[in-house]
Amino acid sequence: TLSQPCLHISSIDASVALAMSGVITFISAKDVPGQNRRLWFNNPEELFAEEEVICVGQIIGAIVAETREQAKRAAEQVAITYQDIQPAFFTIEVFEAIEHQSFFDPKRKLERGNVEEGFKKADHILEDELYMGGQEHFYMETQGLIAIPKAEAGEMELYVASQHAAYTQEVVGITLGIDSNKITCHVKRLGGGFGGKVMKIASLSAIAATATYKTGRAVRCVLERGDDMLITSGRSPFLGKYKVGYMNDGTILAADITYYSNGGCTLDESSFIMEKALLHMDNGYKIPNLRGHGLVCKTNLPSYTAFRGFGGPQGLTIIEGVLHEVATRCGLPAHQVRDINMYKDEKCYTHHKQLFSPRDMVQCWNECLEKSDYTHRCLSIEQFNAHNHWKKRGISIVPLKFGIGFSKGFYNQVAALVNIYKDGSVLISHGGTEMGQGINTKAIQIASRILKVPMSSIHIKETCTGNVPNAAPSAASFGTDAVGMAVKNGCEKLMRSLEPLIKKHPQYTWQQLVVEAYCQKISLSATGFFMGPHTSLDWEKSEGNAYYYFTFGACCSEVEIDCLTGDHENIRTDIVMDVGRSINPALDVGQVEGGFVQGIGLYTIEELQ
Amino acid sequence: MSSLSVNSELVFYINGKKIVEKNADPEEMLLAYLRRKGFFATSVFSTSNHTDVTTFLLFYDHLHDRLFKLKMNACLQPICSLHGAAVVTIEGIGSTKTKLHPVQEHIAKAHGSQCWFCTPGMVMSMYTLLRNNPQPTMEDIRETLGGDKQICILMDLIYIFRSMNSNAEHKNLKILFSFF
Repeated sequence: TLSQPCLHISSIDASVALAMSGVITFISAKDVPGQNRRLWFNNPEELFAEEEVICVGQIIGAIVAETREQAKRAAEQVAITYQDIQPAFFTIEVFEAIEHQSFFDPKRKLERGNVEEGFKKADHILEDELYMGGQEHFYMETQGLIAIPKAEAGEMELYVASQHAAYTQEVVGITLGIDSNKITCHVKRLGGGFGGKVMKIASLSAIAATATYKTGRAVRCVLERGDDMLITSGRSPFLGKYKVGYMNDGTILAADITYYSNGGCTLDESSFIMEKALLHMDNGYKIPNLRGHGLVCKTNLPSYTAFRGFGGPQGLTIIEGVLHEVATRCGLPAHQVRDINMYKDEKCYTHHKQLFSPRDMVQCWNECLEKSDYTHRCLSIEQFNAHNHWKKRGISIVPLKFGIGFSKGFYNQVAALVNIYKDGSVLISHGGTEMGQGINTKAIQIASRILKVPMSSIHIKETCTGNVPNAAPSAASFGTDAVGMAVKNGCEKLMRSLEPLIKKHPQYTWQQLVVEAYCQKISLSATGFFMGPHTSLDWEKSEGNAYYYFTFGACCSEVEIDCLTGDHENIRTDIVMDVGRSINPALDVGQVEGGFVQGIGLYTIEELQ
Repeated sequence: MSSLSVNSELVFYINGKKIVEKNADPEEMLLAYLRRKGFFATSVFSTSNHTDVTTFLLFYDHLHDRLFKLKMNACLQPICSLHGAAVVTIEGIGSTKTKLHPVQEHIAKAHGSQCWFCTPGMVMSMYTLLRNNPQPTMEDIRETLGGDKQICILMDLIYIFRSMNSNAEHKNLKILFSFF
């Protein structure tokens, strides 16, 4: 890796490296049999940098060797000469990208009401900005894969750490110029994903596949932690510039917020992330006149990508910051100002005109206030602060409205394949990816309930593009929703065909039933499919049902700050989360807690340099 | 470590089995060696010193006539430094094939894992703690597990702490390995 972005590549010389022991070959753009450049929603993505390098950590070539140590040593010996071309800009807080108007298209806007009118009627106007930094995924297992060539017809098997096996399959196919039906991607499980193993892993897979293609041997590529953090990047930093018009009692009449996100050097998922941020800019508040602009800045950093929440946290943070500022200026308790502005009516519309009921959010809010003993603790905190000069405590309670599902409607689909074998055992293959969230456990639970067989008879081996094609990524908090429904559908199909047999032989055990079905030539395999909601958004009109439904919650945290050292301690947190009818409470609690901890990291202690 | 005799062969133990390496690579780390020999449960998060502990080490220091029971980062330990030592990996303390070690059982029952990638490290950390101190306090446990970066289950550690504590205080753990 180099330490300066924005350079023109003059020459690449791998001769010294190739002469080293154990080194098999060096691959770069010219070794790509198919396409080195491809389009991702009309934005170019390059596998190997051919002429220009646009960020630090961009991949120019790869050394293939017998062992990792040999490869590392040889990689350092590859000589690349560069020419400086243009000024590089990195960050949005230094306004470089904004100054140079370096943005990706499309630029988005959402609006409801009339913001200018709202400002006129308001008692006060507030203009300020809030910046939040990015975050590194830091999944325990770094990104990696093994690509294995098969003897015939260009077949290749890849064992990948990916949340989106189908996309990896697609990219490998484009890169090698081989049809998807000959490329199979397997994912058994991930050591954590968090959104980071969707996009970049496809490029890594294509690189390893190119090496496999050229050498005819199985190739393993696993990133070391430092490289992983640099190359695959993380959550986009956001800058929110806002103008708010509010009344003396804290009611916010109008808010105009411009979001700038750091998209990095390629578009990747940044425009979708910005869309989600805009779609969440209202959080739980019925601000009547609301306008949001979203601009994704193009900078010379490794491309920022998806991360748990996908722009939601960034959008929510800015509006919560606004609420807090308004409360401070009004001299009113923050929770009161939040309460005044909250959606309360039975039927409410978001700023993108999606109908929903905030009933559950209000319930979570009230329950959290009660369970956290908010009012009493406020008083004791005031007392504490009065008596402590250098240590201060604070408490805050925040509501949450979070959209579930993809706003890009076509992603809301998933399939599952359910096979029953003659010995009665069941094998399920679904389009989702297990990364510790327990999707496989829940899928087995669902199948067990419908087929009426114990969970021990049901097995999920892996996610495989050969079993379930074109699966959407396991993302958008939608995995279990979708996969669960697909598995349910598949199992129900099987039960329907087995029903006549069950009626005829009610005394049969499951295994006898299965054997009888086989003898009666009744299919023991079924595909389940879930066609999710038709979500979409008309950005011109600022309207559309962007999400399947909303998940609500509320969280109250108490923190103690040391005014001298700047250190802080999290004293107590109460989270009330509406998870509907939980399929598996243990898993759900784990997910909520894990998400909370990642949030603590994001907002308080993690900082990207 | 111990220098019993000047030897051109590397001799050490993995999970009670004697290993003799005639041509040990001085640059090879224990992690790479273990994975090469089929001990796949030991994995790597990063090659810096403040993460992951995945193996347990037992060695006898002849100079000071002391037995050391340590946990170590397999990714940073050259195999040549292990001459005369006994290494224990998670496969050596229990498995679903043989029998689960109480530490493994406790973590599993307390829902102490999600993707399970860091779990071998946590298990071995606890195992080391219990080998050195069969009655650890909550503070000891917190200290011991602090180095393992379990982002997603930091909260679940509370459950594990409680279950480990009850494990340590109320159960009498049998030491499963004898010295060489």
